[in-house]
Amino acid sequence: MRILVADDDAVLTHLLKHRLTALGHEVQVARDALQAWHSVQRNLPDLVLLDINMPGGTGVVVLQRLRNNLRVSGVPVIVITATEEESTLQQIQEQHPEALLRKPIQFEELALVINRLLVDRELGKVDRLVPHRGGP
Amino acid sequence: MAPAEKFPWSPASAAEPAIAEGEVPILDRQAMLATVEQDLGLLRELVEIFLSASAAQLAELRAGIRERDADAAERAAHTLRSAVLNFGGLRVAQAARAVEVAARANRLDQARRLLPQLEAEIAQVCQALSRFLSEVAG
Repeated sequence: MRILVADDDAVLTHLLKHRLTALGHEVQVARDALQAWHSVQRNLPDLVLLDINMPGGTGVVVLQRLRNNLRVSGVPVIVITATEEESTLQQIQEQHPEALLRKPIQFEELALVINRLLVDRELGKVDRLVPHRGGP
Repeated sequence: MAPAEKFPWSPASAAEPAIAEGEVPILDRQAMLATVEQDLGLLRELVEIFLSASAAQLAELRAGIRERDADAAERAAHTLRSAVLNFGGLRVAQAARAVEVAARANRLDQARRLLPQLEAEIAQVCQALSRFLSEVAG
C-alpha cells in the first residue's frame, strides 16, 4: 500500500516510516499542509495518515479539500492528532475520516486499522476513484 | 540486513531516581521500548531526531512569544507536546499543553511566564533520553 504520512513531528514520521516500511508499505512523508495536498494530488496514495496541527494550514483544510476534489475524494484518510480542542475534533468528524487516532499513536492499533482498510479494498468497499460518500 | 539490536526488558536502572507515588514520570521507558519493538537502533535515531527537533521547536516557540505571533507559538508548543508523547513524556506534555492553551487564547504574557517551566522540563527529558541511550549502549 502506498501511504502518505503528513505530520510535522519528525520523530513520529521517522517512526511510522520505519515501521510501516517493515510491513511492506511504501511510505512518503509531507511536513506541512501544502506539501500534503500537493503529494496527494501528484501521487494518489492508497492511504493518508494526516496530522491536524501543521504549518501552512491545518489538516482539517487538507481533509476538506480532499473530500471536495472528485479526483482524490475517495482516498482513505486516518487522522492522527494530539489536539484536545472539541471544536477541532468536531470539524474532523464532519469530514468523515476512515479513522481518528489520538496521539501518542499505538502502532498496533494503527496497523489494525490499516489492515481493515486493506480488507475493505480487497472487497471493493474502498476505491479511491469513487467519490467519498461520507460516513456510515 | 543485520538483525535489529534488541534491548532486554528491564526496570529503570538503579541510577534512575525513584518516582514518588502519584508523580508523573519524566519518561516511560517501557512505552518507548514497546514503540520501537525493542529496536535500539531505531530508538537511537528517534532520540537524536527529538534532541535536534525539540531545540528548533523551542526556538520557534520563543520567537512566536517574542514577536506576539500566537499562532506560531501555539503550533510550536503543540508540536513539542506531540513529539514528547512519543517517549511517554507526560510531564513535558503537560507543560507544553499549558503554553499551547495560553497561546491559543492569545494570552502571550501568560505563555511567556509558563515558558521557563517548559524549558526546564524539556532539558530534563533530553538529559533522561541521553542517559537512557548511554545505559542501553553500555
